[in-house]
Amino acid sequence: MESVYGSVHEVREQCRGQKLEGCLIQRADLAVLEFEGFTVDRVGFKSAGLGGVRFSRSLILNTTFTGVQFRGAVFESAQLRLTSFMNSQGIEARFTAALLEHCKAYDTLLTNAVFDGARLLNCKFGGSDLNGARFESASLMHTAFSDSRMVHAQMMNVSFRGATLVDVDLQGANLYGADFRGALLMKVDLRDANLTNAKLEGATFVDVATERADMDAAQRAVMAGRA
Amino acid sequence: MSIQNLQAALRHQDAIQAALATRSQEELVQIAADLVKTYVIDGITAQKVDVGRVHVPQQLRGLPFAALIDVLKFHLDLKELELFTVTNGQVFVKLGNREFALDGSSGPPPVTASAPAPTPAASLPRAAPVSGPGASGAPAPAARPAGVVESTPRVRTEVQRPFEGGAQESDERFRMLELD
Repeated sequence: MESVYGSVHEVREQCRGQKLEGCLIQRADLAVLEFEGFTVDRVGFKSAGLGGVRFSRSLILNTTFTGVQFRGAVFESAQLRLTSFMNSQGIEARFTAALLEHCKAYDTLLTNAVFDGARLLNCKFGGSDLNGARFESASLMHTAFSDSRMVHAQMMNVSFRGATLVDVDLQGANLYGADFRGALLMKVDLRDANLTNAKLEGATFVDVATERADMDAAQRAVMAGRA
Repeated sequence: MSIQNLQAALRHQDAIQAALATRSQEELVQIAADLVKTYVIDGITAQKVDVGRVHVPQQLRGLPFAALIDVLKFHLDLKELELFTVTNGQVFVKLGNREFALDGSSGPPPVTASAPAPTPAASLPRAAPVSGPGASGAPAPAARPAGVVESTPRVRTEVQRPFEGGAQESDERFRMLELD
């Protein structure tokens, strides 16, 4: 049976050798702690406070964040594998240059989160709020922003500027004002997406589906390489 | 692979290369590594293999354009397709009251059986059949020499004539209103 910790003191006691493994941390405000360069393995954060906590350059494996408040948390250059965020609040969280592999974010607030230069492989963002999020120069592969519940991703004013999107599911996403300038999109599903006011100049579209997408003639011309 | 498919694939390849040429070497290495890891080593297949691919039935691929339009008109209930007509293997599109041949190299077909055969010079546009007083029995404008047909005001005059009477009539009606 895994250990359960409910206070900063208990968690700090477990953080020897920059490792935190095999435990459940619930209802503890950990905002005073730092996890930079840590290995976090098989840890469950439940209803915990992680606002502004730094996980930079950490390795986070098989970990779940459920009902966690991690606003402004920093995951820069971190590696997250098989990690999920459920019903959490990560407004303005920073994942710059991070690697996210087999990660999930369900029903999580990631408004204005920053994924610049990040690599997202086989990730799912079902029902999450990504309005204003930034994926500039990021690389996204086999990643889905729509889910089977048909909850459309909220991604207004999101920026994919200079990003590489391969095999990405954005079906039905609200991409109002999104910035795709200089991006490369291959096998991207934009069907039923709202692309009103989206900036597409300089982007490359290969095998991109746009049936029923809300976009004007000028945008379609850019997509077809006619402008 | 058909010629069209091959050309499309080559265009895609050029577009991908042009897009990747703007990436730094570090980015390119990471992209290549991630692609190999995801789709080769992990053996993941694309989420939606058919995304972006329009599957054209084989029997449509070899059809000439005129026949394709005929098939589309027969199978699809789109009012925009009604603007297209196919006559003698040529496709015409109706804009306003006039029809234009998409293929400008050949002349328009006769609109009515009594109309004289079109001359090679009388290519574009051809006028739509005009209904109303004075239209019956007259040769279709399509059969006129090109110089006459291209005189837009004349064609317009013929087409708009039926409405002129209506406009005068409404003017008179308004005059009556003013008197009242």
